[in-house]
Amino acid sequence: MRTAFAIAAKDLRAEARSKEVAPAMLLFALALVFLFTFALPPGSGRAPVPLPRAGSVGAREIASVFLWSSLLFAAIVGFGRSAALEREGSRLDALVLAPVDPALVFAGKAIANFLYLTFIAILVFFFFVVFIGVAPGAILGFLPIALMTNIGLAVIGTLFGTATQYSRAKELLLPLLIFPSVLPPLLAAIRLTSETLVHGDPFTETGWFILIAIYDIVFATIGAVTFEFVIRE
Amino acid sequence: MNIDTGVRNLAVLVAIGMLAGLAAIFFWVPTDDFQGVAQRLFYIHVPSAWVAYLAFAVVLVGSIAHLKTGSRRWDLLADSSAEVGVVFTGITLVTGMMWGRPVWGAYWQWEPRLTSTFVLFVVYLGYVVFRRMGDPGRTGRIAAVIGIVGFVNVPLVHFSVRWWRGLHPSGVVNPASEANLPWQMLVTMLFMLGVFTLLYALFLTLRVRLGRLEDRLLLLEGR
Amino acid sequence: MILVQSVSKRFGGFRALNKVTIEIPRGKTLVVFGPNGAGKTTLLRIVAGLIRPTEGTVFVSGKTPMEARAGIGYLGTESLLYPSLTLKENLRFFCGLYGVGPGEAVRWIDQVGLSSKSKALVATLSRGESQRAALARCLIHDPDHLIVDEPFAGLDDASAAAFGQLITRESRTTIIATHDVDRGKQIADEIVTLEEGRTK
Ligand SMILES: Nc1ncnc2c1ncn2[C@@H]1O[C@H](COP(=O)(O)OP(=O)(O)OP(=O)(O)O)[C@@H](O)[C@H]1O
Ligand SMILES: [Mg+2]
Repeated sequence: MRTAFAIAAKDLRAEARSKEVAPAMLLFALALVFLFTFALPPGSGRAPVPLPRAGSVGAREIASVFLWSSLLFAAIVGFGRSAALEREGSRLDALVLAPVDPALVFAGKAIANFLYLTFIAILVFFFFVVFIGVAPGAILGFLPIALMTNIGLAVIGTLFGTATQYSRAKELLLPLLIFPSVLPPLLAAIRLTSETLVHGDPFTETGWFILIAIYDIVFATIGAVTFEFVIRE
Repeated sequence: MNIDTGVRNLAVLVAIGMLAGLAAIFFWVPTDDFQGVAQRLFYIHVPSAWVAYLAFAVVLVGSIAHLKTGSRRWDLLADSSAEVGVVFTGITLVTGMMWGRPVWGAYWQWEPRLTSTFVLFVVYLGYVVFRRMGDPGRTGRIAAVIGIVGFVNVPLVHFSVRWWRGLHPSGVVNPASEANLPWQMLVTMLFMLGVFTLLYALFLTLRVRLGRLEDRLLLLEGR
Repeated sequence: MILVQSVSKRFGGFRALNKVTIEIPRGKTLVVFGPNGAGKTTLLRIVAGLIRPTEGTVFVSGKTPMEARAGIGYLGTESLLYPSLTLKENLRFFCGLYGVGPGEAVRWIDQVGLSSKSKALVATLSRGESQRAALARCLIHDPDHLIVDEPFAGLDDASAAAFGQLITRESRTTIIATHDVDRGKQIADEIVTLEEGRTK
């Protein structure tokens, strides 16, 4: 596992210098959040919103959909860039040649992607606090949701981000593959986040957490086992 | 019997079956009391869906076997089955929408099965695109990874959408669970399932043969 | 000892290598000549384990290249270093991957004569410097098998001579692909010429 951390640390250090991934993600997420704010009535995150009528959705549900859509778009941008950085100049070859388990290379790249995502998620959340009036304290509920969901997103993003580097149509393929693949944890995260915004507590619906956990475990395993076939010929 | 006769016989069998099935759908089976004529779409819709899932299950098997053995035969099987699967998923979605309009009053409902099918359609569309635009040295193996992830994801999608909807009941009509189906309906449905399965076998065989010929052509063209 | 047994490689229909058989005894240096597009890089990448042959087998000390990769050093046409890390950070990272002490990073930076550049970002290195840095990377674990593709490209005369010294060492089996006939002949124990994917 030390190898995985070394690879992640290398990515983060390079990122700290060149800033090629996180700022692009952040800018993208913030632009989306900014647009979304126009769709929401002011204070919709804080003021007691009447229970939604049957068949309609409350402002907080919309807010949590917006939050996660901006994170998802930012994630896709970030996954593509972080994989491209490794692929440029065939640098992935160096990792293939080194006597390390491809599963650890996968883990390292996924850890870096996870950290970018989580960093962006926290910033975007505070954007919601400022512009939509979400209660700052809701971060306590949001953080565990984001941490768990980001594992799954980072795993899929690392696997498909790297896979699509070997294609001429990577900009088209990455979103095409990621959107449907992350639907389960995304639905869970949206539901849990809107619970948090409404009740201030996501833990009333543990079932969704279990769903995310299962997803994370299943795809982390598949990713670790199959990454070898992606990077080696 | 050589392959060509085998394929031809299969094709003839499928053609006859398809004609007989269509005749049954249009002239023999009684009209559904609740859904009216639109229900007849189900004799196409359900078998297409079945073939789509069957095809993607074959992709899964072919993908795993290809990763294990590295053999081009499994790879070609997975590739071929994915293409056929995408076509049938498309048919499933279109017939589903045609049925949904008169019965649900909307072309589309975010209902678990429809959503899972849609997700399959998108993922395997990505698969097919990747096949055409990938780095030739790795395409087979990476496509196999996509095929595995796509299929494993389906139950999770199904489950999460159902759960999501469970909180907003949408009153979806579940065609399969209606009790007291007239026996003609059951027979027609089973018959069409059989015909579509044979149709899948036919398409798959043809596509695999085409793939083999392409491989050989590549070899002959080269120096 | 490196054994290449009737290896062919096709890219689609194009045959880049055609039944190539080569045997390099332990400790010897093989130099591969051949015009552009002859298949030199393809051959070297197969021996390093980066691509798989369409037909035939490769053994490095009796193992497949992937199994033997801890004992292989490969210098390709690209440096495989991260441009936004310094030279030292890069080499330390590879020390970690190969399980050798971080002191080796400094030692090899000295050996290739880049001590003054050890804190420079790799992106800022000149062509020749970057070639030397790449050499340091592929030698960092002191491999018993060394595969180098056009090592003299971009180097001045003095550096190229020094390079030849660094590459070859006692009991190291080496393959070098180069267009530099004089220098190649000088360090070669054996010579192979490829043409249109065949040995001549
Ligand atoms: N990934 C690939 N896809 C298709 N063709 C390839 C690929 N890699 C190499 N080739 C072809 O194989 C042939 C041999 O290439 P290779 O790079 O091995 O030549 P080389 O001997 O190293 O040439 P040079 O002296 O220019 O470096 C070339 O004609 C090249 O176009
Ligand atoms: Mg070359």
